[in-house]
Amino acid sequence: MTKATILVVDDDPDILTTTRVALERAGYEVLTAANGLEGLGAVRISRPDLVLLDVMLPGENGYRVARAIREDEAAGVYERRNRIILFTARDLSDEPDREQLFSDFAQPDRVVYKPFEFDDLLQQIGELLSE
Amino acid sequence: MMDRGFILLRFMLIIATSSLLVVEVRPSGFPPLLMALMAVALLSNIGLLLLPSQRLRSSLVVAAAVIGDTAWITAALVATGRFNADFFYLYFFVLFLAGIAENVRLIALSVLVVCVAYLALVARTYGPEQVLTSEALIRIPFLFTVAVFYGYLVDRLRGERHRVDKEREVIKKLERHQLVLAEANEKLEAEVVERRRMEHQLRKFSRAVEQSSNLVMIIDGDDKIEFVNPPFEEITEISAGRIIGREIDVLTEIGAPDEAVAPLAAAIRNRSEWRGEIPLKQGEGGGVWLAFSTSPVRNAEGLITSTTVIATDISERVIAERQLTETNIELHRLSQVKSNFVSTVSHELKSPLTAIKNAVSLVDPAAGADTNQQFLQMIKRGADRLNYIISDLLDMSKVESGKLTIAAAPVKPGPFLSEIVEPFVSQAAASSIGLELAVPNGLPEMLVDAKRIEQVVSNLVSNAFKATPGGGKIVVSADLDGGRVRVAVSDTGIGLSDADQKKVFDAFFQAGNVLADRPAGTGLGLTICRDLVHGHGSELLLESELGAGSTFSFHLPVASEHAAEIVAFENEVRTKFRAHPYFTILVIDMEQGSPPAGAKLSAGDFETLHNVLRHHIPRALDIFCDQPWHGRVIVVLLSTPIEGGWVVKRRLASTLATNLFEVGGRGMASLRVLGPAAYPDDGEFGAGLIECAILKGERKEEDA
Repeated sequence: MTKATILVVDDDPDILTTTRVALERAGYEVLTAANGLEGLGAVRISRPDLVLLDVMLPGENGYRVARAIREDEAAGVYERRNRIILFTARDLSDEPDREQLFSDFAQPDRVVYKPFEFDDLLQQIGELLSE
Repeated sequence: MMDRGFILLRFMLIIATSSLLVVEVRPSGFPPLLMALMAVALLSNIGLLLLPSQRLRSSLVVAAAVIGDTAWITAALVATGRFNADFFYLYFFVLFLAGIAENVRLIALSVLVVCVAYLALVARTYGPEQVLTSEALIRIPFLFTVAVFYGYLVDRLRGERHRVDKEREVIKKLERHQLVLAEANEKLEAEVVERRRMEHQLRKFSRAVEQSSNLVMIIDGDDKIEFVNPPFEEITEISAGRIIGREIDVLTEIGAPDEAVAPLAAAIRNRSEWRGEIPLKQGEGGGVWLAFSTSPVRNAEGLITSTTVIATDISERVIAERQLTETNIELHRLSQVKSNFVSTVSHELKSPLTAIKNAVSLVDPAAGADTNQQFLQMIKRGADRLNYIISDLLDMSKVESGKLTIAAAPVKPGPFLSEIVEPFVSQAAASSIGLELAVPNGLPEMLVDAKRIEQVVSNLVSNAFKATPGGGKIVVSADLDGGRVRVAVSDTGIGLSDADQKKVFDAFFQAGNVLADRPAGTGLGLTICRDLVHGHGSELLLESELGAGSTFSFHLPVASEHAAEIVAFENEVRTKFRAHPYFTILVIDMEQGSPPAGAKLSAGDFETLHNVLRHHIPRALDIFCDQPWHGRVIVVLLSTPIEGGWVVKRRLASTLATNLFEVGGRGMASLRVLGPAAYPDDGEFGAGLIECAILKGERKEEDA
C-alpha cells in the first residue's frame, strides 16, 4: 500500500515543521507550502490525498485557496474531490452565521482550531482518508 | 271732569227742574214749549250717555252741556212765566255748574254768562228799571261769589284728591321701583364680587403666564398671534412686536424649518390639539428646540375663539440626546475596534502557542538529541514571540492610556543614530544589503526621549531589512528641515501598495508579501512607532512605491531655548486628550507660573493645561487644534495675558467648534464671558462659577 500524501500550507515555519514531523511519524508522505499561491500550485501539480490549509496566509488566504480548489474541481481539473482541512486560530463557533458564510464559501471537509492536538488531527485525517 | 256721575246728576237736574216748573204751572195747564225743552234736554243727556268716555271728558263737550243746560232752563222759565220766583233754581244750577266745572276760570265764566242772562231776562220781563232794584243787585254778586267759592273749594278738593292719588301712585310706583332697585342692587353686588374674584383669578393667571418658564402664545380667531409671554421673547430672541399680529409661519423666519412648522400651523387653522417638537435657530451649539402643544379655547357659547400655544424649551434634552447618540455611535465603534483587536490579539497569540504545543508533543526521549534540540529551539522561539507580543501590547496600552511619558533631553543626531544602526551592520553583511548612515555635520542637537526614538529607529530599520531582498540598500539619514531635524529610514525593498500604505500603521497589520518567512515582528511595531513619534509632537510619514522601496520619516524638535517647553506642551495636550476620549472640560491657563485656579479646578472633573506657550502662541494653537477635540471639549481660558488674545480665542472657537469661556481676561473686556465679577481681586477663581457657566451652557456670540 502506497503512503497517502498530505500537503501542509502554513506561513509559520515552526508550525509547518512540527506538523510535517508529526505526520511523517504517523506514516504519511508530507509536502509543505508557506503561502496560498504556493499551496494552490502544489495541489494542482502534486495532487495530494489531503490538504491541511491555514486560513491566515499572506497573499491569498486559506478560504480563497480552498475556494479555488473547489472551482478547479467543478471545472473538471481533478478526477476526484479533494479532501481539505482548514486550520484557523480564529474560533468562529460563537458566530455561527459567519462560520457558515466562510464554510459555504470555502467548502472545507473539516475545520481544526489552533492550537490543536496531533492525536486529534491524525484521527480526523484518518477518518477523511478512509471515506 | 265729566263722567257717568255727571250724566246721572244731569238727569236728576232735568227731572227736578221740569217737575218744579210743572208744579208751578199746574193751574194754568202745560205749555207745549216746556214739554219740548224737557224732551230735548233728556235726549241730549241720552246722547251724552252714548258718547265714548274719552270724548265725554273733553272740555268742549262739558262747555256745550253747560251752555245748553243754561239755555234750556232759562227758556223753560221764560215759557212758564215763573221767572220771578226762580232764584232757587238758578242757585241750584249755578252750584251744579260749579260742581262739575273743570276749573275756577270756567266756573267764573259760566256764572258770568248765567248772571248776564238772568239780568237780561229780568230787564225784559219787568222792565230795565227793575234790573237796578236792590234785590237783583244783591242776588248777582252773592250768586257769583258763592259759585266761585264753591268752585274753588271743589277744584281744590279735586286737586287735593288728585294730588293724594298721584302721590299714592307715585309712592306705590316708587316702592315698586325700590324693590326692583334693591333686587338689581343685590344682583349687581353679587356681580361685582364675582367680577372681582374673576379679576383676581385673571391677574393670578396672567402673572402665572408671564412668569412661567414655559413659552406661551395666544392665537386669535384670525390665526394671528395675539400675545406672547416674556420667556418667549427671551428664548427665541425676537421681540413681541415683531411677531404679534402675524401668523405662526413667522417661526420660519427665526430658523424653524418649513416642514416642522407646517403641522403646527395646520393645527391652529383647524383649531385642533397638536403636540410636536420644532427646532429654531439651528446652528452651533445645537440651536433651540421647543416642544409645542396647542389647545383651542372655547367661549361661553362653546365656540372656539382662540388657540393657546404652549412651548417648553427642550434644547438641553435634545442636545444631550444628540450627544448621547453620537457618544453611543462612537462607543459602538470603539467596542467594535476593541472586539476586533481582542480577536486579532488572540489569533496572534495562538500562532506561537500552536508552534510551542506542537513542538512539545514532538519532543521524544527516544529520539536523538539533535531532533529534540530542534523542537526545544522552536519552543524557545514561540515563547520569545509571545513575550514580544505581550511587551508590545503593554507599550501600546501605555501610549493609548496616556501613561507613556516622554522624557526629552538634548541629543546629538550623528552619534545617536550611529549607535542605533551599529547592531544591524552584521545582519546587513550577512544578507548582502547595503546599510548607510547619512548625517551631515553641524546638525543642531535634537530634543528627544533617546530611549523612545531609539526604539522607533530600530524598529524602522528592522522592518526595512525584512522588506529588502539581498543586494538592496537601506539608508538612515538626518537633516535640517523647517527648523526641525528630519530623520528618515529608506529602503530599496518591495515597497507597499497604496492600499497597504493606508493600513500599515494599524495594529497587527503585516504586509502580506513582505517575506517568504514569517516575520519575527508582532504587527504592533509601526503602531507603537507612530505613537512614540506623536509623543514628540510629530507625524510618522510614509512614502512608498510597490517594488521601489519605502521611506519612513519624522521630524524631531531642535533643542533650542523653548523646544523643551514645546515638547512638554505637546505631551500635555496629547495626554489630556487621551485621558478623556469622550467629553472634556479643559481649562487653559495662559498665566505662567502659579495657577491657583487651575489647581483648584483640576481637583474636580476638570483638566487644566498650564504653561501654555506664551512665546509660541501660533505653535501652541497648531498643536492644540491638531487634536480631534471637535465638539467634545469645553475650553475655559483663564486669562489671556498676551497681545491679540482674541486671535487665540477665535482660532479655538472656530477650529474646535466648541464651547469657549474666558475667565478673567485682563484688559480684554470685549472677550469677557463671565465678567470681572468672576475674577475677584484676591485672585481666587470661583470654580463653582465656571462650573455653573458650563452647566448652563451659556455661550456668548460676541467673539463670533
